[in-house]
Amino acid sequence: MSGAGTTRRDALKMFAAGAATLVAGCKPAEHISPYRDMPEGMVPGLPLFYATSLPLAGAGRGMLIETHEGRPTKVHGNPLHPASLGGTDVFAEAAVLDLFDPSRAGVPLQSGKPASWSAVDAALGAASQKDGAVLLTGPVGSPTMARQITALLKARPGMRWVSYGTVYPALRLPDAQIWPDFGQLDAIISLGADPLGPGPGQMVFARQWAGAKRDRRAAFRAHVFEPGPTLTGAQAQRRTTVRPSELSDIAQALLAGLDGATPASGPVAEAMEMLRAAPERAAVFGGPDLTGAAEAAIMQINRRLGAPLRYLRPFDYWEGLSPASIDTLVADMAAGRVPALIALGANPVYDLGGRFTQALGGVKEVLHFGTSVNETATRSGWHGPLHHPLEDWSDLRAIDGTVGLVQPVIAPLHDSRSVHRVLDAMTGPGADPYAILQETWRGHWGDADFKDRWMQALHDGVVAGTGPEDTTPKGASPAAVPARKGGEGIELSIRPSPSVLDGSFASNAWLQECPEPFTKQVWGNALWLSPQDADGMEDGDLVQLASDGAEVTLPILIVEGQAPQSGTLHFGYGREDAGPIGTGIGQRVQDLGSVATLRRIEGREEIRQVQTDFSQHGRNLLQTTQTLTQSPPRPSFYEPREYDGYAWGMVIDTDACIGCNACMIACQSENNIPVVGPGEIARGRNMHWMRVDGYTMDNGGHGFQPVPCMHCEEAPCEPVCPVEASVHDSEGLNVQVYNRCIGTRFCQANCPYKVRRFNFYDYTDKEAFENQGADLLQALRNPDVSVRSRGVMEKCTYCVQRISSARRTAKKENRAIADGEVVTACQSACPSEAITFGDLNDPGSAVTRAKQDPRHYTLLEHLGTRPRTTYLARVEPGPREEEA
Amino acid sequence: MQIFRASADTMLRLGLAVVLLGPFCAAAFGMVVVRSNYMTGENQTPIQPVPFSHAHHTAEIGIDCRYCHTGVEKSARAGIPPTKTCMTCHSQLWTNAEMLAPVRDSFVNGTRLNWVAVNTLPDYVYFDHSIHVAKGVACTTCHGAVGDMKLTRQAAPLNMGWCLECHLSPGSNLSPPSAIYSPFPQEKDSAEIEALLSHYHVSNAGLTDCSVCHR
Repeated sequence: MSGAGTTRRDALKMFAAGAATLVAGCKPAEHISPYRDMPEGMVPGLPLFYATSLPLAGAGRGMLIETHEGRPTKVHGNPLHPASLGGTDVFAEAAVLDLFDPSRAGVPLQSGKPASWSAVDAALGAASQKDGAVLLTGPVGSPTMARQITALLKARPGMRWVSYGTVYPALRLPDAQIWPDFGQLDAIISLGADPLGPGPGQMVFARQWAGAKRDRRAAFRAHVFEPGPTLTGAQAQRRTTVRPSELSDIAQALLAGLDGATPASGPVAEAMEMLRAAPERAAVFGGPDLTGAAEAAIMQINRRLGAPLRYLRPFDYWEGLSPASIDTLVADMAAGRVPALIALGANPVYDLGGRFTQALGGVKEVLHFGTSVNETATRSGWHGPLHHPLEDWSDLRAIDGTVGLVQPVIAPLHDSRSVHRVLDAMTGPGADPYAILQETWRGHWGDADFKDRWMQALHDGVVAGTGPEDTTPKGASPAAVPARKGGEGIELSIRPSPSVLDGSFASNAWLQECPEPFTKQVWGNALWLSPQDADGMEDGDLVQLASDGAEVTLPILIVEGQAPQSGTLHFGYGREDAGPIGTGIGQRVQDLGSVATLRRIEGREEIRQVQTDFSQHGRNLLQTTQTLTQSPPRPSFYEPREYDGYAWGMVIDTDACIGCNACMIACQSENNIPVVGPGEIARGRNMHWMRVDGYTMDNGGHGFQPVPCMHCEEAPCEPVCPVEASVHDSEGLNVQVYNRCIGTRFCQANCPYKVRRFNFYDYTDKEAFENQGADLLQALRNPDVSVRSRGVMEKCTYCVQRISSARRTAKKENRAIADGEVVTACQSACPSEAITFGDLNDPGSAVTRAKQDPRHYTLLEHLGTRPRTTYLARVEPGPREEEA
Repeated sequence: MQIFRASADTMLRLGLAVVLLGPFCAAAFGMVVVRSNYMTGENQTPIQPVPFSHAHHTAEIGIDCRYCHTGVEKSARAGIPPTKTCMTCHSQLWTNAEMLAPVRDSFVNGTRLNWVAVNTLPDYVYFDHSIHVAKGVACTTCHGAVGDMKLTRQAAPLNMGWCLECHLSPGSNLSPPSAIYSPFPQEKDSAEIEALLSHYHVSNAGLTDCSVCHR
């Protein structure tokens, strides 16, 4: 407007026009556009829930999707599904953002230019007929997809199917899924296994582990040997750091110990003692860093111990269908023996790296189908956008074998297609995925009561009659995984990122901003080194890792609990084509081998962390049963507050919390919390209402403490607010009135728990990070929660919208709100049921009982704030001498 | 030498008065404006795509409010009926009426009718119809005598002060169950109020918490 061409007269005209718009725009007409036909079961204003399954690394997790007028806004766990049991994980919670991702692929592309689906179909049909053509997929967990691939290979004898995985479920053998009976397990020795870590088994293992701990606190023990901290190690009563190569030796030592050999004293001898002390109630879990010989040894140990383990058919194993190996494919591609490659839902260029990309040059025709234009799509002649699982019909096996149906909860947002339709289009007309899916199940059930069974399976989210199938593992052949190379340098343990998994979630901003549990790093990865190996380096100093001809430069993080001469890396970063959110975040590390040379190089890179100090400085913030002292209530000048009706309160069991961050992302999804981006994180700003603090414990372990708003009865934020934007309501909630808030930030300064978050910018809309202000994302917002604007303070509300909804329902029925009727988003997400919420005035409520637990304590009790959110102390067995 | 004329003194006094009283007048003017019908929308009758008459459909032919506003007992929103609801009658009656052409268009082509909202609340206010009708607040208490409205108008200012009047003392705004869906407000005497409050289990406890309407 201040351009050189603007004359005074123009400026006046514009001013007049602006003033006129202002007057006219005071009350812009709002429109209401009712349906032509109301969809079945819909009441505008009430959410609908649909049961479906979401894939993670190919395996299904049963979820309930909340939709508002056809817009999916929130993912809840499905209590009926064995891989969820009502809990969620960060990836499930963030699936709705993936669906509405503004950078998702919109139209088919030919050499990067928009094309039509009919052209893609023609190219696909021609490619599939070439002799030696290859269909490349990730792990296939869908019975329908397996049926289609079987039929396809029959119809196209010249075609091969290759499948590869990037992330496998924990406790997975090559030909079996180990399924522990936690109810019967007293002693667990883990050699680098991480059942509580990110993956399709996280929720179920976390629930069962927490249950075993809660039910048999005296008996249940875990001893974890691992190179770097994992969530399983943090939950274990005893943890020993070893280099990755030592894990295999320990397996052999334990086996020798069973044979009567006396292991040297130390942790291995202790582990041996644990196994001996719990015959038929002990098991050894093997992790990904073991040699084939060690895996075989572990199977033998478990057999001889009579370990309460089942061996189940893996979710991606299909009778009569075995994929060719990816290594053969790469060799064939390089030799020019593959005329056409059809990559379906996989991103091999990123996952497999340089060797695959080079070999891709030997393939004439490359077709890629996926939900985004990723590294493989940009190197393919053709790209066809696929439906997001929330838009598609399908079915998925969970890691225990139970099948759940996948149903669309929204019409496709883009010109995309179902993966089943693409498969069908190779040999047929490209049928509707609904028909293809029904055909699979009609084959299983027959026609007789098909409709009833179909409706029941859709309603429940699980298919009755499917479930675990026992199998007999052949046992890993000792030569399957060669021994790790020794030699100069540090040993690397390369694990999937707890935030973006294998990189497939890299364009999801919620997940990029979801902190890694131990270092609280966001927006990137780093090399974890032990304090001994740091050798004068500091967090953020750059190093170069070189191994197997690959070189990676990345910053270091010094991590307590990392074994000396070893390093931990997370893969899933360094994406080249992951949209504005994921591109160029972190470094790609998949090409590194198990041992690398480490060279310090000049320069630093700032590491984005949301917590930098992991010491409690003697303040006992995260109490343990060792530090907890039952002291009488402190004297106070404050009169006790009386609440006549409900008095909401929360108790968080820090012993059950595994630190998975599901609560954080659940809160973000429920409460319309924006991301701020790495730049703002570097300035110490973020918007998470719920954070999970991590602390290095006195005994060297690592503890987690989720911190939402404490809803103090004597809230320090309230007296300092000049405009009464921070006030109490009659049920004891400390509420923040956005419309009153003028942004002084006095409340934030005076909050001892630091749970208040300030909108320095309009993070949700006009000043949003990258593309997160996109119009499309408005469809994602929870309509029951206000979207906050710039200059406003916000914080955890105890999900007041859910309390209000329960209160209205109860009032309509002239009754009180029952215990368990209000479930906060964090509570419902928690896979280990660490969070209890309810009415403190109800003597029988779960939260009242939790407050009477001997482990109960109040965070910063000496301040006299009388928080409504309190904690249960972490159980530490204490020094071993006392334990005996 | 006299520089100022005699009237300058008056001008000065007037000027001083404006300086002193002006801000108060401006503030008062502003407060009057935000409470004016122009700003609140009270008594305004938007132009609709179809000149729908509540007077005819409710008072004259006796259709219950809930026949069209199906969500009112279950949901936060009473709901505007889908075109199909209109066509239950209008596929038989007035099938060629010109004023119903948009309705038939919508039914045939699947396009949506674009009604102009008469009663709107800001997005940060979470009003729930279902709890209000369950607790004895009749439709006409907020929407006025729809039985008289040939074209629908906004009958109340719908500002926060107006909401709070009732949330502070709800009694006088309650109606007996038989009158909730009546198209005309019903007179009641003060003796009835106590009975209604106890009948609906209504008190003003907690009704003025910020979190009741804002979250």
